[in-house]
Amino acid sequence: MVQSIANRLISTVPILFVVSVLIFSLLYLTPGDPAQMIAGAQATQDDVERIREALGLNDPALMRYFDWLWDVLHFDFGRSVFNGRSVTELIMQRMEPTFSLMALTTLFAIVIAVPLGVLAAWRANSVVDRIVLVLSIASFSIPVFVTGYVLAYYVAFKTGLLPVQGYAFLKEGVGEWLAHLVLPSVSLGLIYVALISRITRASMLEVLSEDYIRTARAKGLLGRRILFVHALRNAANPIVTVVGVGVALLLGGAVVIESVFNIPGIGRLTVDAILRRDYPIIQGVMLLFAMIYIVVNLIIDLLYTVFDPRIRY
Amino acid sequence: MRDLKAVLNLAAAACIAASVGVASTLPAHAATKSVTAVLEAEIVTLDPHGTSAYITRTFGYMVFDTLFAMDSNGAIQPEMVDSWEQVDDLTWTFTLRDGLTFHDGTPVTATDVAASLKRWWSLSTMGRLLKAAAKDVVAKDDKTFEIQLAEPFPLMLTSLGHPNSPAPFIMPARLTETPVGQPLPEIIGSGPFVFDASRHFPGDSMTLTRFEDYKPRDEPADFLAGGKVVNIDELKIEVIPDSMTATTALSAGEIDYIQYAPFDLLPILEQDPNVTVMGFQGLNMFQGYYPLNWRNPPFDDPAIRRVLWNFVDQSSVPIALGLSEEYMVPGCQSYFMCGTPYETTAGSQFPDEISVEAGRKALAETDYDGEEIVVFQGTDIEALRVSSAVLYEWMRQVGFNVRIEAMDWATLLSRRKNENEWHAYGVHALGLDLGNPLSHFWIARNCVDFPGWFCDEGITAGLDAFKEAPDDDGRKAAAAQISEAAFESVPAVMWGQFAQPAAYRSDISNIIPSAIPLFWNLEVDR
Repeated sequence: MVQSIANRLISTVPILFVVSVLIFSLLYLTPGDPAQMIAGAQATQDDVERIREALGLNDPALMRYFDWLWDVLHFDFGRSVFNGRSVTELIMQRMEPTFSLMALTTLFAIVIAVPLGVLAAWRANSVVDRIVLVLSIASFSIPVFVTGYVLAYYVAFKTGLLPVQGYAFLKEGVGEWLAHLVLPSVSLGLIYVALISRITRASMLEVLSEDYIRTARAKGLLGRRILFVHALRNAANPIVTVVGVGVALLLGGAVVIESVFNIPGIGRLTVDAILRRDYPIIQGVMLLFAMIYIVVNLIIDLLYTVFDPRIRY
Repeated sequence: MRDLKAVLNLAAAACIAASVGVASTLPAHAATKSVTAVLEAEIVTLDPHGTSAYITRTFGYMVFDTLFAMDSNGAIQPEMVDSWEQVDDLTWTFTLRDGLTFHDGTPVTATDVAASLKRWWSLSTMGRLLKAAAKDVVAKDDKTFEIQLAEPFPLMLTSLGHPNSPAPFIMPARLTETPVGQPLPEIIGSGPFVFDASRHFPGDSMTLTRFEDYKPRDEPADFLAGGKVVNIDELKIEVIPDSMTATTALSAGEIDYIQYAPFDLLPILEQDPNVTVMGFQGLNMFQGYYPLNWRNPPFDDPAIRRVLWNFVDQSSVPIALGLSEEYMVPGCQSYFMCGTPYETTAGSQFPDEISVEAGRKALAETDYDGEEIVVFQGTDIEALRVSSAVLYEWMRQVGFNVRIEAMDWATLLSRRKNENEWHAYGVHALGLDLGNPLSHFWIARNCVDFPGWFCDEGITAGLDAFKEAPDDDGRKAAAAQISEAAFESVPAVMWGQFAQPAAYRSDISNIIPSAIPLFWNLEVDR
């Protein structure tokens, strides 16, 4: 097992290298010039050229890539072209909001979706199942930003119970932190509630038709025990897979919800950097995203062994 | 089933308890007198000499100071300067006010001024004029400096006091050694607000605090001139990229000021008793333009460029943006905008009836042979997006073979450098720049290497006359001369004059009506 994990971690190195080449190549090929963005729309070509020179943007692309790669190998991801701040510092500042949002959203989705899915499977084709189905379709169909605006207006603005926008760091108090994250998490989480509940239902339905479930019922076990001990554990692997994929997808959804609720997270950092062509930040964030995908996949693989002892690495 | 119900009930109860709990922890306005503002964009470049971006100019006027400044009548008034004298045609001496200090406590000296001017004048349009005429800027003593000229320069005070971006902000001499384009190692000015680096979170917020040692002038505040008395303890500038969110936050009292209230939400804000909407006039308004690319056929033919005067009316785009007449100047036909010192319609080529039909007739009289026209459309900002879309539709109806390409602003700026890729795009700029031929983006860049590559001898002659004019009457005559040439050669076609109203909480008063947000002078009653 340990050997397997070590191998997986070592294999991330070539993956990250390929990712870095792809990112750099894409940025090189994409139109846009940070020097022009710094100089402003009204700058002459001479002005822009002087800034390009000052920033070293006229150096050959390969030289810039290897310079950057060398720095990355020394855990130096460079500095923002615009404000000179270290990319690592900028990413670290944004970690807490984004990871808080992702964690609460995932928690919200699992806590709501798994019981709903189990309930729908347990009462398959009943009114309860239909209601869960309708709710799931509705959650899938409504764009995240629409949910966000509606909740911000009717729940936050109209009632005044919660803040309309912004983020409070944990050091400002758990209450503040939670108050700023409830609506974003619910907005972002609804679609995952739908996704996870549908997968849970399908997976549970399959397991509930197994012989050992019938045997358990025949032995007179309580419904709760059958559902949560025997059935859910055996139905867990597809659910874990979709939760894992969902966590990765959350990074994409977070970009939208961070804008709607004005949360200074990594999603907004990425979008801002792309719009300005702040190359060091884009490269740093993309490497981070790649790392997150790899780690999440690794965790999912390890969780398989927890829920299904037959799986060994 | 009963167990599941119990679990769900417990979860619901927990959620309600959490909501009640967190609601009780919501922030009230703190005792510190502060204002939270959302500006047009994030202040990304903090070097006030390093960019022509408006947002950095706004930051500059808070943290840095200028030698001279413009008042609400467009006149140039002394700011850091106490007295000055034109010794002869080629020599000007200036003496700084007493008590000027930088935020690090060091005094502002003539050496700092000389170094700052020499850094500023390389990127600024106004600065280049001074640089071209100057021989040197010399510190005579701690408070006196001299500008030595190679040729007479009647626009001396205008160039030192005009807010055209980048403006001539003064910084410590040691900071001027940083090449333009590289971030300044520290942000030290002598303006009324201090930049607090420890509370700057790029992409999220920055905090400026009142500079306790700032010595305001005795005169009352008047636009950028006069005494800059700060009545608040701190100014928090938040970045809220979504205008809907910012508007809701303003109505909810979570923020105090929005520089650009969204056009489509103005009616809602106007009805909110807790919010005041501030419109602007004259130089504080914007004018939209379609810059044309003279190097890409068929726009190398001035007759085809002039066809645009026949159908680009001055109301359709502002209306398409959702603006009411209150916030626009319908039918303004002046290159230098209406309600401004150099307003003129000299040489106007607008027909009596501006319409698609008039455009069709005018196009038929040219040598246009169906060449494809490419309209670039910036999608980041509403006015860019809408103005380009309207132009595309107009041109299509007139009979041009036209294609529109949507892209983000960074891509547009990059691609417009290629003279073969585009013909026109929609953009807009502030009257403070467009109201003067020397800082007008599509007049002042005549015959320089600037996308569009417009070059007209008539405009050059007019600009020279403007620079050399001894008085304002002479400058007005020169502006008319430029206007005549520009209507004939068409470096760009205007699409409308409009205001981008600001909105703020009604408990704020004495706010200076300015398209450049200014946070001195205002009072907060809370």
